[in-house]
Amino acid sequence: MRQLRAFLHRLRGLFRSRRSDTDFAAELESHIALHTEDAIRAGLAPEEARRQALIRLGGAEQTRQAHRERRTLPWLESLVQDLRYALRQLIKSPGFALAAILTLSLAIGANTAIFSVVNAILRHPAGVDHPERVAVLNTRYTQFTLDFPSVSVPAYALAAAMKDQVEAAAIEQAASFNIVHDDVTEHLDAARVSSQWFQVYGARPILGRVFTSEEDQPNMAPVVVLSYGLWQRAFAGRNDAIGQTMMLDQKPYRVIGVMRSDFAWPRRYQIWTPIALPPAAFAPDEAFNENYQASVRLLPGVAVNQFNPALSTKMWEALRRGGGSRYATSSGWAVYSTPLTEYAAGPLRKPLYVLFGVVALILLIASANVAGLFLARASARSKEFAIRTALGASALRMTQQLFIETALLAGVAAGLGIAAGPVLGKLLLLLVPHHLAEGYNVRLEPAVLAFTAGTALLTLLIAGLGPAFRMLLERKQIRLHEGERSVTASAQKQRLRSAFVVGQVALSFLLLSGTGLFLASLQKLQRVDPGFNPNGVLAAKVDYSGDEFKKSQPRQAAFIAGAVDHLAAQPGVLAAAAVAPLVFDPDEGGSCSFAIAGRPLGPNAPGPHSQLTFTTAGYLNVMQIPLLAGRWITAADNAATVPVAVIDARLAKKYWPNQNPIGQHISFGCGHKPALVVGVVATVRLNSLEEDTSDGMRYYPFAQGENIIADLLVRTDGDPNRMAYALKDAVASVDPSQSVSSIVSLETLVSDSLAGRRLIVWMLAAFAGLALLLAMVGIYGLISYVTANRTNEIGIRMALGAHRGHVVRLVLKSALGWVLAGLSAGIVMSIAATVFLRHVFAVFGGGVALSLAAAGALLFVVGALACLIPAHRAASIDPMRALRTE
Amino acid sequence: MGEKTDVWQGTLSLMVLRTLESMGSQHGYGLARRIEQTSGDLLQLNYGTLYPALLKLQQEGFIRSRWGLSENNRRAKFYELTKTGHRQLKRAAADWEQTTAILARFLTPAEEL
Repeated sequence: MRQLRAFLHRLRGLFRSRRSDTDFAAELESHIALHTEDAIRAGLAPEEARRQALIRLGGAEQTRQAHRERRTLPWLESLVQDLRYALRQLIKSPGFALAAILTLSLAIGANTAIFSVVNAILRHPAGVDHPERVAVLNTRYTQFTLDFPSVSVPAYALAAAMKDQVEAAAIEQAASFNIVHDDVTEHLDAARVSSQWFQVYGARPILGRVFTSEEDQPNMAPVVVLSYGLWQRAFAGRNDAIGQTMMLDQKPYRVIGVMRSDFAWPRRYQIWTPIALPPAAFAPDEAFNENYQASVRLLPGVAVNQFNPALSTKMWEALRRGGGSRYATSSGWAVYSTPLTEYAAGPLRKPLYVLFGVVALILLIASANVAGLFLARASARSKEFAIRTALGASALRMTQQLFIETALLAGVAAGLGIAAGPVLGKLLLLLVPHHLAEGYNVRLEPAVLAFTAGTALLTLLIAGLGPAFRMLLERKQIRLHEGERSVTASAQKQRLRSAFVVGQVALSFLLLSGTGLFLASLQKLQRVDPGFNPNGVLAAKVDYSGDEFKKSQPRQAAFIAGAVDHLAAQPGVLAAAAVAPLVFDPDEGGSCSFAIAGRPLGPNAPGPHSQLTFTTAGYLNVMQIPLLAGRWITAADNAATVPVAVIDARLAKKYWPNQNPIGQHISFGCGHKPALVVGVVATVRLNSLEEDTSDGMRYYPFAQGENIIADLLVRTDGDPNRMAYALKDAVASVDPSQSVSSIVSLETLVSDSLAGRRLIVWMLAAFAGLALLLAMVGIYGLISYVTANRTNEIGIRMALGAHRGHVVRLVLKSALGWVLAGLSAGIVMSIAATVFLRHVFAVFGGGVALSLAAAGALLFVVGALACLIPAHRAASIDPMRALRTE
Repeated sequence: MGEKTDVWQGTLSLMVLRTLESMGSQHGYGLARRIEQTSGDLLQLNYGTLYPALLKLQQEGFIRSRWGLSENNRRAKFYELTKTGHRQLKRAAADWEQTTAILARFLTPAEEL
């Protein structure tokens, strides 16, 4: 309290210094006068009396100083002084200030942008509360190289029962509904979820309530929770929406709640209804039927890697009790959880981490540049510092002042970075394909602010330390003479600055060669043949709506046949087909084990396993997949004829090496019904150009199976997007109860699978360009400074007969020396980075030599360019003038 | 103790407070002289150090100052104790007495040691 009071007084003292100075001067004068009078009275001469009074005081000036120090806060006062001084200095050299601020704001802005995206995507997805406590359950089959984020109902039930670690557990399944809105059928993406689902994600309604566990039972009156967006569209945001009835797939649902607007998980879902699993779903024989997504909210303090071992133990116990442990062992089955943040970021995770590393490099380069600028200025100001040292300024004080100058710049740059960061971040998200970026919200958050402040501080340290370090080295030398007479030795004193330039070149090289490597890998990936021709194909997704439709095989068969015929008859359509699931669609895909007739399984064999697809006769023509043997599915394959299957070359080779698979019998779909293998087609990629994840494919006719979804495909010779209307029209005219939920070209789907790579290449190219520019500025600044200092030397050389060519060579030599040193360091760093990245990315590391060579050549050209002006200037030195200044 | 000693750190404030209590309002020079006199001229006070000490006490709210006229009609700044100053003096004096008492126990040759 007492200290605080004194502190406030002293703080106030800062602003009243002149008045207090006068006041104290008067007090001191009166003290001396009183003392002098006393002394005179004691018999001293007036002169001597005053002298004695001053001696006893210990000096008037010293007293005044001590008083001043007590009156205010000396460190704060000197800080304010330095700040003022720094501001004056920077205003005096606006070019320097501008260059430094621009450099730093670019770097800090880029860092803030990337961080705000990283923060939105990796740390806080889609309005989920405390996402770090939410974990998603996954299933793995090591034997089938399968790993997917879904589980079976029994597995979920076991996880949910782990009350000592799990706060809440939820199971969900994607669904879709059609609503009729002004006579137009609209498709809604929905999720069927268990009652604790909202608790797991921390999703609170803004209106009404979420459903209870009683409502989450079979045969209860159906209820629905709406997303904010749907509430706005369907009910115009009216509060009386609660309790109203909504017709979904022609069935009445009672609206009980509206979710808050910032909650968008899972992405693009607009409706939540109770999943109401029947007791049969929990039967032990469902253990390997992974048709559901499940997630848990862990209790506070429980980490995912604590939860996983416990989960595994529990799963195996149950398997041993209920049977199935043999299959689980042989197939390498496991259930494990991953943090939601990891799951939600999906394919963006790796690219974001790479970009994060890249912007950190940019920050280093920018800081090195600014440090170089400061060093150059410190050299130019060495006379000023020498004079100040001579006048008694302490090294500490001068260092403090240098730091304040840097801090001022870093502060302004951080301000600009904060303003620009989230905007740049939003632009960055635009580069990401829509289905990946949806639901992410880039905004200014405390974490982003803290991060920016941290980068600014880091910059300050890096850029401020160099000059300060140098000054401390030099503080002993008073070099009042230098600057007047030039000495070649100055070049040696630029060693620290040279180190910064060399570092910049090395880091730029790393970025450039990295860009080259990623570009090479992207090009290589783009040339990868997926096994089909995606150009000119448009796909329309139809999520079957209505329980009746979903369970009626004849209706589905009629719908598919009708729609495909309708499409095939359209002008411009070369071929039409239906397929489910569609390759390269991130939301689709499926696989299951199957049996081959006549091949009994050994007791521990997991059995054959592969992907499967239902399709129609036109599929091969639409996709342009070659038929290798036998025949393809035809329109004659229907419910009344023998079930048939076509397999791909991979499956044929795997299970019938050197045999003819045609005529063999395998399971139909995932069931036990047999199907006759009638043909073999070429293998296609499943979902990625980066990795071939296919275990082999089985094709079955739509007309012989039951589905919940279908993709209608058309191939045209023109722009496939022109067929969008024809696709919708085909669906609407064949069965008005069904609707198209999304339309996308196959080319887009294939290209989106490389979105992460493309993002890296774009960003790396931009950042490498920036780094190159910064390096060029750095080299230019250093070389022109050194050259200017060597004016006299060059003058003498020229007077002694050196040619202009010699002079240019002289200048280039030192600059290229730095570039070479930087390149050597850069090559080592690049190779290390390549080795590391090769572990992270499939298909990476091709074209190393080319990338390194190209990056090196580019840097050499840039280095030479940066030297041009200084070299020209040096070569134009008039020897007479140069010598005269000596 | 033949030589004059310097003022120990921290004791000057207490001396100032005590002197102000006994003398009432007083200016800086008068205070300095009085402290020397009270010490029996054993203390060698550097007058210049008195003023920062006075300022500190003022900032802490123990004394206040105003301009006035000295006995020989000179303008001078007079200091006096505030209410908190009186309280502080009591507290500091008690503390100091305790400290010296403890030290005394160590320094006087004691039979039981």
